[in-house]
Amino acid sequence: MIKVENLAHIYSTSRREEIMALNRINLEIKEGDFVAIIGPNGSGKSTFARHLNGLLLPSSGDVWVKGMNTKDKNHLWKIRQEVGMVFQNPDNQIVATTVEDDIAFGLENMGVAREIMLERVNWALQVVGMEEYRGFEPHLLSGGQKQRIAIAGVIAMHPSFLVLDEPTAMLDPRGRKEVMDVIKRLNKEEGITVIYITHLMEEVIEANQVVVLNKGEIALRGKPKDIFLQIDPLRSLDLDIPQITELAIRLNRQGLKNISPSTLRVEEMVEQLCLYV
Amino acid sequence: MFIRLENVNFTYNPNMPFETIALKNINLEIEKGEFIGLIGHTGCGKTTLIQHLNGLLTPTSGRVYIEGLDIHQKGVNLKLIRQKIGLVFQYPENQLFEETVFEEIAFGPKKLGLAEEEIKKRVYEALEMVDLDFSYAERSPFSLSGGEMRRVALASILSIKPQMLILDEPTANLDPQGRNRILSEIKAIYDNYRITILLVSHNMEKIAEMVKRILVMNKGEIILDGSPREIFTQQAEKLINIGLALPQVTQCFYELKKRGKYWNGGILTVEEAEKEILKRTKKSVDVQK
Repeated sequence: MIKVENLAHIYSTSRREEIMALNRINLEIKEGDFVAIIGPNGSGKSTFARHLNGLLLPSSGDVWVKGMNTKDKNHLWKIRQEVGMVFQNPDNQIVATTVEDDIAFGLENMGVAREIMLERVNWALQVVGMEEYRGFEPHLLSGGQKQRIAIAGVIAMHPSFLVLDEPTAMLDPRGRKEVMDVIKRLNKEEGITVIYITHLMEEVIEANQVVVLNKGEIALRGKPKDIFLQIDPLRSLDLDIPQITELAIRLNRQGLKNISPSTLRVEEMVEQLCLYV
Repeated sequence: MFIRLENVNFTYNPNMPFETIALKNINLEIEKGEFIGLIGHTGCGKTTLIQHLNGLLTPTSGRVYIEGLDIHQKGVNLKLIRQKIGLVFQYPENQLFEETVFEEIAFGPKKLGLAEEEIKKRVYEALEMVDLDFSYAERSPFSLSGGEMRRVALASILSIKPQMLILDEPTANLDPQGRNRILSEIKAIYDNYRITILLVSHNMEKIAEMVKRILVMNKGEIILDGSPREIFTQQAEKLINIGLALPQVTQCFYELKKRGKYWNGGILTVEEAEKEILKRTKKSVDVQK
């Protein structure tokens, strides 16, 4: 479990101003969860993510990873093994000259025995669906493929938690889907706890817990269905409402009560509309 | 005719091991005042195509005419072509380099050798066009947010007063707020100044709402060319086959049709969908009565 207690983080700017990037954050993430963190730019999403593995330390409050406090230097490396991170830009996360070497990089640093390393690299390649690319040079891959390699490199270290900070922001729709599919599979089939940061509402549908951040504080939290019902607060945060949800809300307001205002997918809408004809 | 491409082919690294055919037999005409959307998968040749429209790339074979002039014949001043046709690259904020926003936007007009007064006028006009306050002029472009930087980059092209504006995925990697902002500015630039615009985007919902004509590229070819309604509704099957998405509401009606349910030829927006569904459900309720 990751436990965040009363977390606050203050940045000081070059002009010696203090900016409260996070305030009064309380959150529990249980093993196996899929937690989505959404919010507009500047809401503190990335700052929050960086607290989960001790890349940033709280100005006040605590973050506990499996009972270890991120402030405790003795635990830092153990914590980083437990909490893997994937960032936005795939090009910044690839270090080696072949896919295989890149995935093995973390394991090599950990001093994992060669047989185990091979086994883990094979497993990671298979989970992200990139086995046939093992000998490729990373720069020949598409953005979505590179991001899957970055994910493979992290999961090869067998973390319990995977934190992804807008991993699809720089990808085209096809790459976005590839990466989303891999993340879903990691959570459902491999049991890895996922903390997924995004500003795209359609990407939080899979989560079992959604946390909406605004100005460094938790503005809303709940299941995706419940969050999407709160359309006005979401809109005021400049988050995007999927076209189909917008349509569902309007139809429901017009008296079509069989259309749930928290319809998130096209297929759901089609099912519901079929009830009427 | 403003722009005409005639049998344009383009190959990267011809006769080399990494030879890649990027454009295949492109024929395209663009009139002044058009607002065009260009869609297609990454790697389908969109960026290569737009680099042909202002002479940044020279076709391996075929011709490019701008206002009737073959731009690759001898003696053509490509600089003049590039003043006419402004190209805003992907992630244009990476190209910012001046100390102030004013200097950044003034760079183009200065290179044109304009008088100081005229340069000033153009800078402020361009700022207005992208809806940035004049107080931005003295700020460093690097102190701005991602969305603002991108608007400055756009302004620095607008200050050259191009007749056509080409934007290569102007919303990539912006948050929804920044994205909606820049799109509404592009729309306003078109509405107010009637600059010809070509917009490359992956956002089908926005493209469907904004443009009047859509070009669909696949593997180096333009495979579809028509109004958003034609492309997304009549050619839906074709788009899906090459793995492109429809706007969500259009997709919804496409699925309904597959199930043999009511179908109005072309629904593109939430408003249209709402109207159509209310009409149909009302009827079916009446029939049941």
